[in-house]
This record gives sequence, C-alpha cells and structure tokens, in this order.
Amino acid sequence: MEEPLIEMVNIVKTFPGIVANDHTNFTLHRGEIHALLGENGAGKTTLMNILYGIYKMDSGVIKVKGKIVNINSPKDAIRFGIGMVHQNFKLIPAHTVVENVILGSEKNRVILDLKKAAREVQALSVSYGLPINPKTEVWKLSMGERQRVEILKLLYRRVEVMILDEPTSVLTPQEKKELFSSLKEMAEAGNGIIFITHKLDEVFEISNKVTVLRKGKTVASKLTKETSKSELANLMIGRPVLFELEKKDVSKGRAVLEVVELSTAEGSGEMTLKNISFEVREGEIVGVAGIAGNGQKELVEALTGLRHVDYGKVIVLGKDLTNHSPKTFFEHGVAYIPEERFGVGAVPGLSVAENLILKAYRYSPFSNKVFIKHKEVEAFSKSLVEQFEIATTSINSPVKFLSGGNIQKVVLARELSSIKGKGAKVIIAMYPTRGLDVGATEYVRRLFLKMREAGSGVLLISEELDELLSVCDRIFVMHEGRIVGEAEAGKADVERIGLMMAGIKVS
Amino acid sequence: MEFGTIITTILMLTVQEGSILLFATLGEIFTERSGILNLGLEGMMIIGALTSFTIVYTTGNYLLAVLLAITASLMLSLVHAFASISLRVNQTVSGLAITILGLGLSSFLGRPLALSRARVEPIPAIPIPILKDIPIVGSAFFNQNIIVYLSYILAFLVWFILFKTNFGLNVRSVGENPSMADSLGINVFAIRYISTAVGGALCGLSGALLILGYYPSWYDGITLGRGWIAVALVIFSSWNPLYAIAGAYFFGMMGTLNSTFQSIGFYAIPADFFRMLPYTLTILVLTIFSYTKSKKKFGVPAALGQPYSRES
Amino acid sequence: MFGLNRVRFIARDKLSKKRSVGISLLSLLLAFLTSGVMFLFTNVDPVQAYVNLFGAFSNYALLSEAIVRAIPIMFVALGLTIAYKANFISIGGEGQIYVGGIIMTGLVIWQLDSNLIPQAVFIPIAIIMVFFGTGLWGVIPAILKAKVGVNEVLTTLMMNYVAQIFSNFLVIGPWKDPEGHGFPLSKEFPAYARLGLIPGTTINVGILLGVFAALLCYVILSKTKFGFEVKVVGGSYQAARYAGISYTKVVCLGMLMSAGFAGLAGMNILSGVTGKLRPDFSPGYGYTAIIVAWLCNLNPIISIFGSIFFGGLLVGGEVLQASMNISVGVTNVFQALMLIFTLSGEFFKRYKIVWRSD
Repeated sequence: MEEPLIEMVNIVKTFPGIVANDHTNFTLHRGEIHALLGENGAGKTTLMNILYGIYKMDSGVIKVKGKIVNINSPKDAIRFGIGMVHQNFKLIPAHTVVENVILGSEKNRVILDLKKAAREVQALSVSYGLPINPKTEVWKLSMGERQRVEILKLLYRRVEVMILDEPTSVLTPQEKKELFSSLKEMAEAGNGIIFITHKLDEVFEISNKVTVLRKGKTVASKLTKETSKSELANLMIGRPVLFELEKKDVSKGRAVLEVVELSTAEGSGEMTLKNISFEVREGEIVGVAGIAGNGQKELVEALTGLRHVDYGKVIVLGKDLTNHSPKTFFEHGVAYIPEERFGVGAVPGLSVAENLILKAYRYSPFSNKVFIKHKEVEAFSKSLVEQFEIATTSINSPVKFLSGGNIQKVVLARELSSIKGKGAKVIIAMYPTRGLDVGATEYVRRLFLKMREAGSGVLLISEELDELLSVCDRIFVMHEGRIVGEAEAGKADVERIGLMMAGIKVS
Repeated sequence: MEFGTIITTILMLTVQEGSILLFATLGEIFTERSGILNLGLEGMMIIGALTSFTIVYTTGNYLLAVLLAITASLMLSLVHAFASISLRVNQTVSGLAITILGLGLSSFLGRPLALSRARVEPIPAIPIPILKDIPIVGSAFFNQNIIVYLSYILAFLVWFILFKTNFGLNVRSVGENPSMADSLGINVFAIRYISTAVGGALCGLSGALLILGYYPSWYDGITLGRGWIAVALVIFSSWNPLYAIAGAYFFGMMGTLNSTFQSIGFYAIPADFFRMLPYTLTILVLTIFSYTKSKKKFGVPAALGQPYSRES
Repeated sequence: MFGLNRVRFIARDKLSKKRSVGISLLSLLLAFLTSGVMFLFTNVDPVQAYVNLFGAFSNYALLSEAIVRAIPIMFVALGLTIAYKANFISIGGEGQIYVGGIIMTGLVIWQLDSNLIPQAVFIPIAIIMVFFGTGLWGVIPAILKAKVGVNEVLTTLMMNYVAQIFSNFLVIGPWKDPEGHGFPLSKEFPAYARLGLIPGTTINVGILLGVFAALLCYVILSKTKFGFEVKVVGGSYQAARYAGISYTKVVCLGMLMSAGFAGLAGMNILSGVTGKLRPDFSPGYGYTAIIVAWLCNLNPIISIFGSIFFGGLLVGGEVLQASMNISVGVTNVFQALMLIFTLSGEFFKRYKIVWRSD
C-alpha cells in the first residue's frame, strides 16, 4: 500500500496534572477524509496542535511521507505541507482576503504583486468550490466565507494535509454542504483531510475513515463504512467510572428555577438558544451535558442577567426575572460560579477578603451608606476561609497567588454564603471542576451535594459525564442551542446520552 | 495687501508648518501601524532640532546636521522601543517619559546656545522653474527648501511601503493581530523595533526642518507642542499617510492663521478658536469612529498600545 | 527577548516586600548615576550639581518654596490616583488645572461686578464651584469611553489643549484687566479671593487643603463602597459586570473627583500664588503629577511626600540655574530618568531572569 502521508506514533503530551495524549497513534493516507472523534478533553485538539507545531510533544515520533520530522512551529508545519484551520479564525478583519491569504508567505516578493495573488486565490477558490471575492475586506464576510479564507490560506501554501477543528460549528446548513463538497474535491486531488468533530452525523456524511480518542488514548481506528453510530458513541464515551459519593435520597420541593421557552435571536457567530424549557427544584441537582460550545455559555448568561433574551422567561423562586441585571439575580438568591474563575469569578489583583465580599460589599453588615466596615469583612472572611478550608497565608494576600483549587474555593465560599439574608437557593455552576486536582474536585462535588441536602437547587454544566452521573439527579443534553434529551441519572443509558451529545436524534 | 498675496502667504506658511508636522506624523503612523503607541514625539522632535542646530553651528555641514538629528531622535525612540516591546511597560507612560526627557535634555544641553543667541543661516529655498510661476499656489508649493520637497514624496513613499510591499503588509498585520503574524513566522519584535525607529528618524527630520528651515536660532521649547499635534494628526488622518498630507496642512494652516490675521490687522478673537479646532475635531473624529463601531473599527490598528508576548 | 537564547524570563509567583523596595531603590540609583554621567559629559561637577539640586531640602526658605510648588502637583496627583485605580488612563490633569483656573477667575470677575457672594464664604463657595465645575469637564472623556469606547488617553490629551488655549484666549481677550496697561493679565484677585499664607511662613493655606484632600482621597479609596468598586473595575471589567457594578457609574464618578481635585490645583495656583489669571500659568504640573502618582504607587498619602520631593526638585532646578548656570530642564531629565528606570524595574518585579545552561 502507498505510504501514509502522516504517521503519529506513541505521542505523549502532558500538562500540569493532566495527560492529554497518552501514547496516541494516528495515521493519515492520501485521499482520506479522516474524522477524529472524541469528547472534550479526549485529546483531539491537542494532538493536532502538536502536528501543527503549536505544542511540543513530550515524546513520540511524527513522520511525514515516511520521513521522521521535527515540527517546532506552524511555519515548520506548513513547510512540511500541513495546515490547520482553527475554530477561532486567525484573520485580520481590516485587511482584504488576498492580504490575509498571502501574509507571511514565502512566495511574496519585496513589492507585492497583489493582482497576481488575487488571480491565484480566485483560481484556487474556483477549483475547490470555495466562492469568494479576493478583494473584499474580511470584516464584511460571513463566518462561512471567513472559513473559506482560512482554507485558501492553506491551499495557497500548497499544503497536502488539511486539519479542520470543528469546522461546521459556525456554518449554516448551506455553507456546510459547500464545505463538504470542497473537502471531497481536495481529497480527490490527492490531499489528506483531518476533520476534528464530536458530531456523529457528520462522521457518516463526510468521512471515509474515523479514529476515536478517549481520555488521551486511541481507542479505535476504522473505516467509516465498517462501523455504526452506536458503536462509535460507545467508543467515545466508554464506561464511565462512578465516584464514591454519598448521595442521599432527598425529597424534591417546589421549583426554584423555571426556564420557559427561552430563545435568543441570531447573532454573528454565536450560538442561539432555541426554545429552552426546564426546571430545577429544591433538593435537586440538574446536570447539563454536552460538548462545550453548544449554547451552554449563552444559557447560563441568560440565567444570570449577563445576556439579553428575546423570547421566553426566567423565573427564580416564583419571580419573573427575565432580562434583569446581574445584581437583581444575585439579590434573589442566584449564585453563579463562572467558567473563568480567574478574571471573572475572582479579581486577580484583589485580596482574598475583597473577593469574598465582591458582591456582598454593598449590603449590611459589610457597609453602611458610604463606608465599608472592615471589621465585619475581616470576621466574615476569616470564618469563610476556615469553613471552606481555603489555603492562604492571610485573608489579605492577593488572590492571584493562590492555587487554582483554592481560587475556586474562594468563588464557591462567596457564592454559597448568604447575601442579604437569602442563602443561595439557586446555584448555577459552569465547569466548576475544570483544571482542579483530585482533592479539590472531590471537595467541590461534595459541596454541591451538601447544598442539595440543604434544599438548594443546583444547575451543573459539565463536560464530564462521570461527574454528571455521580452528582446529578437528572441530566439533560444540549446540542446546537436546544435541549435534545433528558435522562434520570440512576437509570441513565450512557450510550443514549452519548448519541444525544453528538447530535444524533434518539427517542 | 491684495487678496492674492494674502492667500499665497497663508499657503506658503501652511506648507512650511505643514511639512514640519507631516514628517513626524508619517513617522508615528508607521509606528502605530505596527501596534506601538509612541507619545514621545515632542521630546524626539526637539532633540532633533537641537542636534541639527548644534552641528550646523559648529561645523557648517547641513547634511551632517540632518543625518545626526535623525540619528539622535532614532536613539531616543529605541529607548521607548526597548521599554515597550521587550519590557512590555505601559506605552503611554513610557512615551511621556521620553517627551519629558527630550524636553529637559534639550533645555539643559541647549542653554549655552540660547544664552549666546546663536544663529545660523537657514537652508535656502530652491525655486522650481515654471512651476513656481503658477498663480497663487506656485510660490507657495514650489519655492521651498529641499526638505519640504522631500516631504511631498515621502507621504507617497510611506503609503506605498505600507500598502504595496511585503514589509508593509507585515507591519500592518503585526499591528492588527500580532499573534496571528507570529504564528505565520513573522518576527513581531523586529518589525516593531524597526517601525518605532523609523518613527523616531522622521521625527528628528521634523525637528531639523523646523530649525534649519524657519527658526534658525535656538530657544528652549522651540517645538511649541508640535509633537503633540502630530499625535493628534495620526488619529485625525485615520492612520493613512495620504490623508495625513491634508491633515498636516490643515493643522498647519490653523497654526499660522492666528499670526497671519494679526499681521493684516484682523484681530485675535476668532483665531484662537481656529487653534482649538484641530483638537476638538480630533475628539469628534475619534468619537464618530468609535461609534460607527462596525467590525472594522475604522483605521485604529487593533493591537495598538497592547504589549505582545508569546504567552498572552 | 529575541536574539538572546541563554536568557529566559519566568513570571514570579511571589514578590517579597524587600525585593520590591530593593528594585525601586535600584531604579532611583540608576537615575542618579545616569544623570551624573550626563553632568560629567558636559563639564559639570555632578556632586556640586546634586548638592544644589537637592538643596531645597536643607534650607528652610527653599523648602517652603518647594512645598508651595508641591501643592498643585499634589492635587492633580490625587486626582490621577483615583482615575488610575479604575484603570482609566487619564492624562488630562494639565487641562483640568486650566479649567479650574478659568472657573475661579470667572467667579472672581462675576463677584467683582455683582458682589452677591458674602466675602467671608467666598473661598469655600469657590472651592465647591471649581471642584464640581472641573468635575463636569472630566466626566466628558469618561462618558465617551463608557458609552462609545473612545480611548481616554487621546481624548484627555486633546482636551488639555482646548482648555489651555481657551484660558489664554480669555486672559488676552475678554478677561484682560482694562486698567492693566495692556498686559495679558486679569484683574488682581481681591483679598477675600486669595488663599492667605500660614502665619510665619511663605506657604499658602492651600497646603492644608491639599493634605486634607489627600486624606479624603485615601479614605475614599480604601474605606468606602465606591473605592471598592473602583478597585474592582480597575481589576477586571468582566468581573465588575459579574458583580453587578456599573462601569459607567464608577468611571464617571471617578473622573468627576479626579478632575475636581485637579481643578483645585488650578485654583490654588491663581488664588494662592499668582493672584490673577495669566497665560500659561501651569508649568506642566499636570504632567509632573502623572509621574508623581505613578512613582508613589498610586498611594494618596505617599503622594504628599512625592509631591514635595518633586516640588523640591523644581526649586533645586532653579537654584542650579542661578548658581551653576545650568538649565532648569535638568529636573525634567532627572524626573524622566527616574520614571524610565522605575518602569523598567516594574518588569523585573514581575519576571526573574533565568540562565539556561543547555
């Protein structure tokens, strides 16, 4: 058989506390449209970033057309004929298509021949079915058109291997069709395409080979026609390990959070929410499963006053708070643990104490009309530090010197303690254990269970199915801005959830 | 005085003043296009002025004077470059420090010259035959010294370099999205150092023209804020070298109207408002640009003033 | 750093107070050494020059003069401290000084005509009017930034020019004293519009106001709800939004105070020193104050002493000029060098040098 275009052998890559790629293998041949499938954190993007020279692997071998190579930067990768189109486009909106395509190219002479370059770009766009006007400024282009510019950037540099990271997340159905037909043309011309995705539908629509990664390992590599959706879903999710957590039976009370037909209008490049309805009751932890980028961020922002909704209602403890300010939300007992703990949840330059009263500072007993009462703040901070076992030398040290887990504890301590007498009745937590070590992770999960026992309702958005299955009472799955299915945690059919997460419709 | 002569005088003064502003503005446009904000123009300009005056006064060599003025300014700009690019300090404060340094240094070093009321011969004007005889505008534009003639060409040259050469594309890209440029193999640091140096060099040329062209004796603070005007001009011309020509002449005219009106007996009251006009207009322009916040954000290099490092 | 492959910079994860102070002192020392070299290079005895430059601190009369100079610097520095804490990079101090002067002069002229304000309360009323009047001027760039996103460095810079030109226009034009023999000066302020001297000294009572302002500023920033909000906004715009703090409110109120304090500087120069409006009455105090605020680490109390230090430098510069025939510009050189070295020192506070042995 012809030698492979790309061979990645036993790739190992670790980050502090995580093994992203654990002896991963991957092979690509000419003419293949090869899907790379896996959940978030499975290692797909990391692997491709290594191939593209953005990361350096710890160990392993990469061969391009049979020769062992060292790829230290994207420029090296391009020289070896490898190109990558990221999810976040790296384009300059103020410049034209041609200027973006030719930037940094070795074909450029001292004085640019923009006309010649435009002709070449035009020719490439025609032969691969990527309609674009080379002279337009990029800010005028739609997301689909901008993606074409990214692809043209690579075609201009004569890459033979094209890596696309979740390319359809920003496209309309029509643009997706056009993209797929261009990819088929490129493959037929003898190139190799690597298509990172989590959507099973697309795997069967476009690819002829699929490799599944799970927790940094290659679990399978098959011809697409020799496998099925349910087999892939199983391989993707695997058998989740349930943590030993004491989950008591708690009776559910009234609804603390009701979301009714929540929808947002079209924005450029952002996920819209489509008719989201659900409720969270007292004593319940409701999980939101799904690959990041399917509307979870937009949903959470709508539930905390940080995003405007165009249709529908958000009702907290019986009160309609739709489109009210963040202040109103937390005054009504909504605690929010944001995705970005460092920079949003906690202000890096402020002290632990100051972060602990970030929202409560304006209420008594921490202040009167004008002044902050430092003694009360100090006492409060000290008690929280003790209660939540926050490891810090003093309540006055800047929070930026704390470890990730302790910063999260500061955020949790603040959010879960009472503001204005109302405890946190509704807790919304987004990826709360991301980046935390085992000890801190367990702490956070136990904390949510405690709040649940105390009668709060928790909405937990997480990428890790094991976390959701261990901690939650119910899980629903989000995909492309809608809720596509629901399951009871105890009786959850993991395969079914996996399919839903990947966008397959199941009954 | 007949009307035609008044217009010609105004135009001539406009071109003089405008050319001084134009060099510094073009230089700063180049610098800011790469993402570096250099508020040190006033200090660099006056150092250039002092250097050129001193060299002519001591050696009589005008060419050497201009070259050394450019060099002195350039070195000062490299201090700012080092602080801003390699040490990633706050560019506003660093630029301000350069201005204060330049003003203080020139005041200190130039004192003996100021006290002795030293004078030199200004650079002679070179009238261009035929063109200078065009009514009204002829003697304004074509009876100037060689440096002014250089300024006519320079704006187009800067425009050409920025928009038609590979280097210029790299400069602009570094100012818009340095991480993208970096990942494509472009040396962000080198480009920023070079464009800051170019800005410094052109600022020195401004200073040399100011002194050797029109005010050939030294006194403290001779630049009178022109460096700051150039900063405003960059914004006013939307970072475009061709618009900078119009802008520089416009601001130049505003600067001379006051004295022109007085000399023909038309008193100061409205003229001060002319002097304010460039600044208020710049604020207006800035506001309009920020308001029509289309995804292009009209001309401001997206990464202006933000330090760049691989980790960020 | 490009070109040097052996050296790498790694972000520090903690910074001891000792090291921080050490780096700051080293910066000062480098400034001294560099200007010393400059003196040598121009045949000036550096030791003698430094003695004269810092002579203000050894001599009672000079020290008093230093304090007089320090007062307006102090006011502006306090104002800038508030703005910078909210991460609002205003460089509008100089213009705000002029606006304060304009308001004060306008008030005096109006009073001289109409005589409506009781003389005893004229100064307190003037303080209020100057503070809030200049404050409104300062709110303009704040609103432009909050609502439209206009860069505040550029707007405040432009506004400085407008204010200075307008002030000069007024004193050469409509507000010129008709009995002033054609000099571009306003009418002399009457006694009740002047800040008197502290008995037994040559220092005007503005110093008391200034110290009071510094204490007020300190209290506002560290003890009030508003001060807390300023810190949060200055720390992270996103976090402020998340915490329910309004960026617009904080920045506008902050600039009101910032410009208000700077306006008082203008009032102090006219009422406390010159006694009338003159063209260009501020010798760049607004810009000096930026350096003071920065070097004093945005601490209002330290700014009192920083301002006096810089006032002393200004006086010392004049002594240097008188005694050694060196231009006063040398103080600017010294200030600028201090700033440059301190800024560079900031880098070394954030990163440490690591030598790679491979």
